[in-house]
Amino acid sequence: MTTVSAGYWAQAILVLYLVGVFTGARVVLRRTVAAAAVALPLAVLVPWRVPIFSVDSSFVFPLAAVVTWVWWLSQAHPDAKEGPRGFAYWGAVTIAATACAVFAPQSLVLFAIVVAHRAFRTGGRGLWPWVAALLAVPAAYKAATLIPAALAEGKLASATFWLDATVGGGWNLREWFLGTGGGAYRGIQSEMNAFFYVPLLLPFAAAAYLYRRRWWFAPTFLWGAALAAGSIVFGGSFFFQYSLEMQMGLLVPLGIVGVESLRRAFRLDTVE
Amino acid sequence: MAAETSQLLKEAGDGGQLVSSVSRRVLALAAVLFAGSLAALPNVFVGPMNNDDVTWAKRSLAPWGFTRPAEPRERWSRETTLQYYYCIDHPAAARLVYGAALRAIGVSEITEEEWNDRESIEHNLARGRYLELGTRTVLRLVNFAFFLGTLALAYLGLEGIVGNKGLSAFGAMALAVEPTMTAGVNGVVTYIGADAVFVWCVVFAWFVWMSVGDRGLLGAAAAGAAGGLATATKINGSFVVIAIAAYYAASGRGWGRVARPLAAGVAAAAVFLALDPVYLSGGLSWMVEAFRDTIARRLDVKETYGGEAMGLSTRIEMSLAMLPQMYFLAPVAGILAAWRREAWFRATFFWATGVIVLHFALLFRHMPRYEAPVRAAFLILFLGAGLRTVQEVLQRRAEAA
Repeated sequence: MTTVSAGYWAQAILVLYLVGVFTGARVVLRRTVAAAAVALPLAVLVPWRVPIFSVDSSFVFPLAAVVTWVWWLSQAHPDAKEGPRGFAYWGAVTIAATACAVFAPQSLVLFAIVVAHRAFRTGGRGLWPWVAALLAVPAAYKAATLIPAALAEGKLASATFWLDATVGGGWNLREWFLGTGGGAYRGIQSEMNAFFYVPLLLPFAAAAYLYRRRWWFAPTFLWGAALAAGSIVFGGSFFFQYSLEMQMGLLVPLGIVGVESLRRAFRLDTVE
Repeated sequence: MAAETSQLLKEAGDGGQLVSSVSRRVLALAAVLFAGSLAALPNVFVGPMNNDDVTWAKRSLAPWGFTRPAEPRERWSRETTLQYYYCIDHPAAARLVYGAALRAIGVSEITEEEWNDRESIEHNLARGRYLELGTRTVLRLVNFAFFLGTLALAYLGLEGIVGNKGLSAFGAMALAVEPTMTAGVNGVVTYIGADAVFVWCVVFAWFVWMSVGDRGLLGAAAAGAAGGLATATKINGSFVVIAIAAYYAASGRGWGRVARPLAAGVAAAAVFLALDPVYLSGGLSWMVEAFRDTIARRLDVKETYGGEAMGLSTRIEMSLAMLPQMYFLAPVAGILAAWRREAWFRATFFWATGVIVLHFALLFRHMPRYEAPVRAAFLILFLGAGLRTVQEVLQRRAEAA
């Protein structure tokens, strides 16, 4: 019997993640080339040649995150249907969200941001299907699967156990990126390239501010901010090269702003 | 007291200034230089030594010029060969600066042997092949002075673009904390070599170009001369001269399209040759031979210390390691495009693009001091445009309020 190695699974998942980024960017920017310009740096950053020996939530989470983003965009789109939807729709969302939470429990952080934004926008009206589908059912299912392990280790009341087993783990791909380049190269990377993006953030924030009223702004930037903040808080890393979440959180929203700024500068059609 | 303060603030609000424009510039510059000092000074004093320390000190005290012997090269003495090597391995400007500093503190000879890469570290250390701490610190302080000079030029140039002292100070501080400048191993300030003077020269060329570059032939010649000074420090300073010539050729009109690049090129060549007399110590054939040796030496270094040793196998990998800001190409391009019609933009864009692209094409090793001019060029161009974007947002908010 032929078995598929962890490396193939990981790379297949990452290909799907890149397709997801492209799809989301295509939804926002409505042009294939523009969407490719957003996804390309992320594709370049994936160290395709480094061998992978196991697949864990740090590989699955990027895919879950882009699925969440694309779904959120579909909710925020000007043509999206407002108001309550059918049982089948919310059932499907619940199943997808629970799958995300099982394979990549960090997704619960993003779901919480989605629900909080929805509550802020609507003042809490019609919020219960969102809470149930994105938070209550996935969190309850994940907790139920963890209780036996917690009991076995005697850590049922340990906050650290629950944090590590749910939203706290898998926020960077440090080991994978440690496989890139030679030792001298990595040494220089960590000494002089860890925070290279920080001086760029003020001008980027100003450029992004000009698009704050666009329909895609809140879903894209809240999603990106949650990923970047999660990488810092849970992954304990500002290091751009080590964290796929940091890369996504910065490159996707700012890539979209960049394409829009280019369109604006050259008076091409922009996305209202 | 409160009433007096209130009155002063009211006057300030009415158009009076609590702190004059000059004072604010001095304060902003002081803040930038303080940030640079905090980032760089520790490594001036406690940064690790480098293999090349003794070599650079020796070559700085060697005679500036080169007297070409009458006999063929095979019969040159060891001293003559070494002197020729010092002259063609790197152009002379940094040697002249270091030599002046060493003589000023009374050092006229370095007796230590040069480090030998083919022998072990222990063996080299046992033979005392390192620079005495005081001498090393003085040469690093020279680097530090040029680093602060680079920051001051970046600040003044950005202020010329943005017109806002606080924002310009922010921009220059980004350069102050740039790790390629301040890194302990092979950073611009720490490494005793041509790099600190070189980065200053590259930014100085931009500053001169921005200041007087549009003043006819003389302006072009001044910009070219500054580029020549950069080339007289390191050969890749010629990238600046190429950028200046390309800019005048692209933006000039009529005869200026030819005359201004020519003026810049002639001025650059004159400064370069004036500072590097080795190329003039024979006829034209000698000059060609000496240039050929200069390039051959660079190719030899490339062969020995190529990027493969760093685990980087493609030019794209090398370029991204050199300037990881390229990952943000779309937002960077978006911000730059918005300000492309402003007067400062074209010269700065040509300067930065010349430095960045030609380094991408030719640089063979991932090393902080090699990448510092690339980072400086990128940050000055990007922050010029980026801080204008910040200014636009602040103005919109003020108007809305």
